[in-house]
Amino acid sequence: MFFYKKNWLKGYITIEIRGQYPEHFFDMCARYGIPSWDVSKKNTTAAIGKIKLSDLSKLRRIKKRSIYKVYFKERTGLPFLIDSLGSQKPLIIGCMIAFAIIFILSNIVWRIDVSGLDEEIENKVLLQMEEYGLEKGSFQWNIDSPAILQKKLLEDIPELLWVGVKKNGSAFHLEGVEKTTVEKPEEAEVGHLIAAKEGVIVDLFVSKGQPLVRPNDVVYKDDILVSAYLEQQEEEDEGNKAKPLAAEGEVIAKVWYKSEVSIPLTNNYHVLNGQAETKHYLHFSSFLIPFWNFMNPDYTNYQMETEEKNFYFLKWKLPISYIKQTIYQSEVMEKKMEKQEAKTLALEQAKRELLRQLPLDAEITEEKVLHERVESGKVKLTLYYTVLENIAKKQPISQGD
Amino acid sequence: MKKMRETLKTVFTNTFDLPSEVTLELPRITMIGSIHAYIENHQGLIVFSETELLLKIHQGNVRINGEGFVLKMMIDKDILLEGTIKDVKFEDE
Repeated sequence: MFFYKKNWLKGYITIEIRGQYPEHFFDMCARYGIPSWDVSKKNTTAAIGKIKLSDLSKLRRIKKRSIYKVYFKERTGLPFLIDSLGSQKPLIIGCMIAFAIIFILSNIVWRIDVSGLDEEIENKVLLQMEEYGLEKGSFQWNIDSPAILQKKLLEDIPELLWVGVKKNGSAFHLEGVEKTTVEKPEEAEVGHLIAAKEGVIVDLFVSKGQPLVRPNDVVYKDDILVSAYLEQQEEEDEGNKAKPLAAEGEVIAKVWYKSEVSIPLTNNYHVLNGQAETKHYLHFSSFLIPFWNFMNPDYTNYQMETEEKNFYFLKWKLPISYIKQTIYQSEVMEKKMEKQEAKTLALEQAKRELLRQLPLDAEITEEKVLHERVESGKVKLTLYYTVLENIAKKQPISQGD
Repeated sequence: MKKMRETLKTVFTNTFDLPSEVTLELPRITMIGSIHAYIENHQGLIVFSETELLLKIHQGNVRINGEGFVLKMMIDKDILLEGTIKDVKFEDE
């Protein structure tokens, strides 16, 4: 019956009324709006019945006005059940310990699988992981996120071409692809060597092919420097078309570069001055609850770093996470430079930029400042460089026709 | 004066075909065989015991006799009686 179920959830009390005509007490209850049920008379001076727990205060008021004595016999229902559970401390402590153990165990790494790798590299990967603090039995909250691990692994183990780190509950799955460093014999392609840039030839080292230029020749872009055909004249005399070969060699030439740099005379730097505040938060769905270090540092310039750790219960991610926030104080430094200082800096910068474009064996022989001016707080330089570099570039000859 | 009002009420009820228990403050007693009696619109409980239930109603009392009586429910003006009902008597004041 619905009536009973509802009352069980809210709790009800069995009361015993003693006095002359105890049924009148229940009649009074009914009139003051206290429903009662299962009322029966034990003898002429005692009756028992049931009332709702929520009507208890009203009952007290009626009791005061009447001559009857009220005894509480039984308490039934959910509120009392909870109360009685609450008073059983060992049970509650046991439950809490059980939950705590499950919680701790859920946050431990139980397994690390590595697939797709040789045993040797697999061991290397596992050792590397141990260095990051990830091994069987370590706590998950000390470990970086899989994406970061992935990146670190790729950086630290050069044999790996690709590695995928996947976190699956309390297990880590690693999938790797090895670099197969097979030395491919470079197929010498048949072709001329042509000039990649304009310049003046300084030196020639030709190992294969017929050089067509001499030192101090001026060559333009795409001029043939070393031909693939040997001694063209003679071969043509014989009537045989010469077989072209792969021209090889180095052609060192003087090449000129013009570059422009501008350097501001005043520079602003953001510098961390070592002052930092670390704040700890509990992140609960959309709430951020600070639980350590409530102070808000009054830094005018700062940099912020946040780190988030998740917690797991069995395989579920708990809605609670821990956030560590570090606020570093930074200072703005203004640096003013003299014109001369700025100029040397500009020269260095221009040289660096040029070297980045050039092959490793190139050599800057001469550097000239063509033009120099100060304009709206900046030093502008136009520079001219003479560089010795290999300008030979392969141009394949298609042999089909 | 009181009599006149009663007569007026009866006439009013009959003319407009209203349920009599509403206007005349009469009790409505619903019985299921002899095991349940549902009494609505009574005016107070006078005596209740294992074998007897005496209720005050408009212009008199109603007395229910039987065995093993239990009041299954008691709300303001309604009573649900459970037990073996032997007889229901209406008594004048």
